[in-house]
Amino acid sequence: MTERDPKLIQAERLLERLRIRQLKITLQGSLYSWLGLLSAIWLTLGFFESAFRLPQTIRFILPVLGILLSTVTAIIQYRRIVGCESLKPGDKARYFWALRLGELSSTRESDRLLNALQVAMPKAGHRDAPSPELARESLYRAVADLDVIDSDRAIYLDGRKKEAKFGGALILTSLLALIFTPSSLLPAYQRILHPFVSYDQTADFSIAIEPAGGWAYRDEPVRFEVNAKGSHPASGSFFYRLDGGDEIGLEIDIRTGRATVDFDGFPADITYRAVSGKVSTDRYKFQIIPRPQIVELGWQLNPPAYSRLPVVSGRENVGDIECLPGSAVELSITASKKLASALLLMTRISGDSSAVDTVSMDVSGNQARVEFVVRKPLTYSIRISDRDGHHDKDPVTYRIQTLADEYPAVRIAYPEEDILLGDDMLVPLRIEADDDFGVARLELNYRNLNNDTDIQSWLLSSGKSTPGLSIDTLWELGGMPLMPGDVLEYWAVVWDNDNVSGPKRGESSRRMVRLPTFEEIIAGIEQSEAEVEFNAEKTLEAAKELKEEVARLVEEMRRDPNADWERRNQIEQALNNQEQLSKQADQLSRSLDELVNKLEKHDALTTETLEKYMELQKLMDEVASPELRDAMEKLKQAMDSEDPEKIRQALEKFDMDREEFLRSVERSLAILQQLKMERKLDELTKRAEELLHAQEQVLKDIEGDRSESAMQSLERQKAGVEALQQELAETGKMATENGESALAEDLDSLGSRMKSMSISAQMQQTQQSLRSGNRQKATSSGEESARQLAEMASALGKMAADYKEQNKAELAQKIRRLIEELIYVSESQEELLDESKILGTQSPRYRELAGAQQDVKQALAGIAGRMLDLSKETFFVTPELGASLGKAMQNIDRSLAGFSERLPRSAVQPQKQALGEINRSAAQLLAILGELSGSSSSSGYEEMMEKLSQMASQQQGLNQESMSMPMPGGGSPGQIPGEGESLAGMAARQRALQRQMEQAAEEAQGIEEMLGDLQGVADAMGDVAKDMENQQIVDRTRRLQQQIVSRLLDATRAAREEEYSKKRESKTGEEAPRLSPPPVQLDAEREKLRRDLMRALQEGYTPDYRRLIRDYYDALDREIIKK
Amino acid sequence: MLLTLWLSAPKATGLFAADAPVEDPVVIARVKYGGGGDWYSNPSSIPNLLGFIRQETGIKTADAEAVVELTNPKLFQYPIIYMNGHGNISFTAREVEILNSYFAAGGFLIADDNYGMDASFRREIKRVLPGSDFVELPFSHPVYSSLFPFPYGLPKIHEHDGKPAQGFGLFLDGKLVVFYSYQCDLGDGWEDPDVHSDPPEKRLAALRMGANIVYWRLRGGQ
Repeated sequence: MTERDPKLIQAERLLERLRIRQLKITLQGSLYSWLGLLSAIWLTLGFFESAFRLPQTIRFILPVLGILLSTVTAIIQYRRIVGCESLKPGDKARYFWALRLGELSSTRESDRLLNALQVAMPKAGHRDAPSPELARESLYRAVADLDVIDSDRAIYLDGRKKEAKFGGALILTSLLALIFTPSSLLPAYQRILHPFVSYDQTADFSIAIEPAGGWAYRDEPVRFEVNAKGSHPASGSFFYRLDGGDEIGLEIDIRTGRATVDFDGFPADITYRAVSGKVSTDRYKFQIIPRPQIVELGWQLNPPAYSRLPVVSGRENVGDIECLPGSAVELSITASKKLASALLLMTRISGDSSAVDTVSMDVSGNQARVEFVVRKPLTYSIRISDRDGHHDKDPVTYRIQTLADEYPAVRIAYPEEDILLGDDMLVPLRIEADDDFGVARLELNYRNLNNDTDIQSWLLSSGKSTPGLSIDTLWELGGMPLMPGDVLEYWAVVWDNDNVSGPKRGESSRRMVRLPTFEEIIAGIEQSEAEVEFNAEKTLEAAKELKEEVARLVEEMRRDPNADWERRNQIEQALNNQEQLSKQADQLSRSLDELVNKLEKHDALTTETLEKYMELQKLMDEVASPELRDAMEKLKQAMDSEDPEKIRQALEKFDMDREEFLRSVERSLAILQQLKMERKLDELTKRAEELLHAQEQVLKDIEGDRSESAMQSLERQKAGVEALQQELAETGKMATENGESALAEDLDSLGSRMKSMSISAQMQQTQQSLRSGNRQKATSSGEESARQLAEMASALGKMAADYKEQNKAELAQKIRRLIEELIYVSESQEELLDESKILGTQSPRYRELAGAQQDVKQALAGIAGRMLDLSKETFFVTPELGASLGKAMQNIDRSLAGFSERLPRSAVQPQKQALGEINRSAAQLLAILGELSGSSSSSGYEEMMEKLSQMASQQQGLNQESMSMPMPGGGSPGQIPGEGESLAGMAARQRALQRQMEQAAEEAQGIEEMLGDLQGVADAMGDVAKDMENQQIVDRTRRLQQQIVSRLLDATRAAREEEYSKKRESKTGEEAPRLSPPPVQLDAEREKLRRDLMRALQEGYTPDYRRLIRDYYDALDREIIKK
Repeated sequence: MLLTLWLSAPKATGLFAADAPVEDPVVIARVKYGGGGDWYSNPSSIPNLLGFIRQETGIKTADAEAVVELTNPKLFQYPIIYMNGHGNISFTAREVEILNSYFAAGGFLIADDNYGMDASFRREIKRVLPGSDFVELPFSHPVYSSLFPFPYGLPKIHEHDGKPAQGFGLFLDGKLVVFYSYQCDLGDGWEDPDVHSDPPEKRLAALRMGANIVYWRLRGGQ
């Protein structure tokens, strides 16, 4: 076999390839075209059926027609392809494609190709026809020689493309028709495909559900809409099946062609369909998706450190929080799904604004957390999203309420009102402060209103932080330059420990303490004294009336012992009256106590006079004696027993003790009236001294060229001088009324002398000199006035002292006389005793001696009466002194009985006892005389006072030093660095004081009751010294120091008499001072309520309760305001 | 200074705190009341008081007083109103209602007994605030010490019946809304020196007390 020319093979392949390619394209175009026709045929049939709904009998025509038409079109297409020569394998197709190529080539090549074709395809019957192989070879050579080898150009594409487009368009149209009219076409095709099945001819409607499938969130509302078209029935059913359960049907009304079916939500997937008549929709599926949700919410609250509140964890899933501003909140959640994000949305609650802050939480899996600090009240919610993009629905909004950190409250619990300052210059203070979370600092602020000075502060507590604070302290004003009439306004200021929004401050109401003027002190004392005197007189009068009544009852009982109803009634009435009198006496005692306190506090008297008043008060205390009470009780018991004899005896005993009561009242009143004169003389002396000191101040003002001040002072001085003159006259009148003519004369004489001095005129002259600018002359006349006043003060002082001395001398004289009488009686009694001892039973002297004994008895009775009178003039002679004389007389009575019975031994023995009692009385009087004639300092009391006074002064110095020590940490006492040496020195001095005090305590034995517990003071000094040695001055130290001073001052009050005038230089205001009205009640009530609230809030209730409590108190507060 | 005072007033509430033109000078409005009493008495008193406050505190005050009837809507522009006189005072029902609203909105009345208005003033003000009774203010009340100390309460400017001068207050919801000076006659003390020829110290005391009241109120005192 010969090898063929490769060129020829190549040409042959080219032609074959062109044929095959054209075949493929033609097949493709035909297929599209056929499919398009097929779609059009069946679509047409579908619409036809849909429109005409052919009956079962002829409906088969439609599928047959469809198949027929489909087949015909298929055949047509087949024949088109099969009949085409150029597509068939073989030489003819090769010649066709060779010719096609020739058409595309140049003319020369085309001719050559035509020649080759002619050779290859000779006319029929041509005898020179070459062999087929040669003809093919010739043709292939011609093709191979063609320049145009781009075979693609030879392919016929246009017609094929049109066919494909046509077919595609028909297919697309059919599909669209199917998509948009499925409800009509699909049933139609169903009927076409089942031509022999009988379909209901009456179901000329369709129904559909919207949405047909889909998804929704679990348990969230879903709405289905059923639409009916055509002649549909009025109702239908909606069936659904929940997650494989039974199918549930709901009736629906589709009269309007539309019905909605609403569900609140489904827990799981459902399938559903709608049915009306025999028409049913398809069964659709609805997927239920759970949203992400918070299944656990927790928080931890860290309150600000200052509040000292514990860390609080929130209850599970309760997101409402109540906390203090500044609290840190750590919020954490656990979600039902894994989270993609979690946002904290915070809305501030502040008036109308509602600014929202969004904070991303840290997410990890299905958990998230965030931490933030609460400054203001806010609401918050948490929005979460899962990883599929679903977010939670309507997140819960929680509230964070900030607790109101209340303002701290402080009040001055004592003094409860404005007060007058006493001579001790001390104000006892009790200050109570409270706050819901702690008091950090407490101060006492004060200022002198008269001088308009700046506000000054005294730190009472600092550094601590306690909810409630109560401080008892003594405010020493001795070191302040206060003048009589000056008013200190003071109030307490407290700060709480809120270091988040800054410490809040509270103030107490303001109080005033006033240093009284001398006039005010005297006016107050005189008023108290007048009250006491008036009450005493009233009591005495009533006691006298009762005395007569009881005496009458006793007499009647003696005459007729029967106690009938009327008499019993009278006795009961007498008892009641006495009860009333005893109460009056108690009241009198209290009034006198107040008077003594005033006298003591304002140091208005000399020590001696003050002691007398104190004695008087003691006396008044004992007026209603235990014996009298006992007698009253016994009388009551006797009345109950209904035994007339017992009643009589009890009544007599009551009469005796009541007599004693009367005497006590009488005596007290008599002494009070006597003391009044002494007090009045003391007062006159003080007045003169006051004027003298004020005059000295005037001279200083003149010297210091302060003429205006001097002029004003002189104006007051003149009034003071006139007042003194008037007082002198009144006191003289009083002396006259009291029968003290000598004193009255002295006073009158002094008054005349004062008038003759023309002190007021001198002062007037000083004023004129000042006005004319003549300071020298003013000084001269001023000095003259001062000299005259000094003379007056001296004279008055001397007069007062002389008066007291004279009284004392007179008293001593009376006592001496009594003693002499007693000694005389004693001698007589002794002689009688001697004579009685030698008396025989048959002696004729019995009568004589009995008479002498009777004389002694009478003499003793006289002495006893005078002693009783004397007891009304002095405390030294007490009625009890008469007891010895009483016993003596009783013994004398027994002796007289012995004489009458002529029994010497029976007479002698009582005589001895009587003599002893008489001598005892004389000895007692002698002792009293010694006590009276010796000065008051003979007991050592004054010396002791002086010593204590010095120690008080030293202690005050120490206190001042420790107060001025720098306080670390803004004022809190404590360890004081760098002050060690100073403290050591102070400690040593404190120890020395302690030793002195211990010695004084030993020396004071016997008068401890008056001085108090000096050893206790020494012990307190030891404690203070110990603190100083340890270099620790704490609050307790300072309190102790103040207590020491206070107790020393208490003990030495009398010794500081002379300081009076130094502290109280006269400077009276023009406005008549009066006491302030009480605080406005409204505020007081609200303040009390506020304190109650504070206490309640500190009880540690839960926030809910705290809120309730607060609401409750707010309501009460509103009530108060309304009232 | 005024601005600072207004802004720093810690308790200033109500209409006046919010709406008062803070840059405007402080003015005191005299109430023109009915009833026949001389509402216009002491004409130089308020200007003198305003001048004294300006001088002592630096607060910007008006040179003259304002006059306002209680039915005038402008009433609510004045945080402090003043009334005095010697004769009868009478409020209409409408005036009673308005004055009550004025107090509720935070307004403040200084009433000064010029000798003779006490009975009618007490009667009429009782109609305005029927639930409140006059309370004598304690001397520790800040109105007596806001600028100048008055340790014994109101100074006694004119003698009248010789009774002590008393400062009374009427409270509404716990706030002092009326300050009534009785037996004192502050207004006479504020007048020009030659009107009553009071001693200088009396006049000074009256002005100081008046300044105390106004200053206390401006500082938000309640």
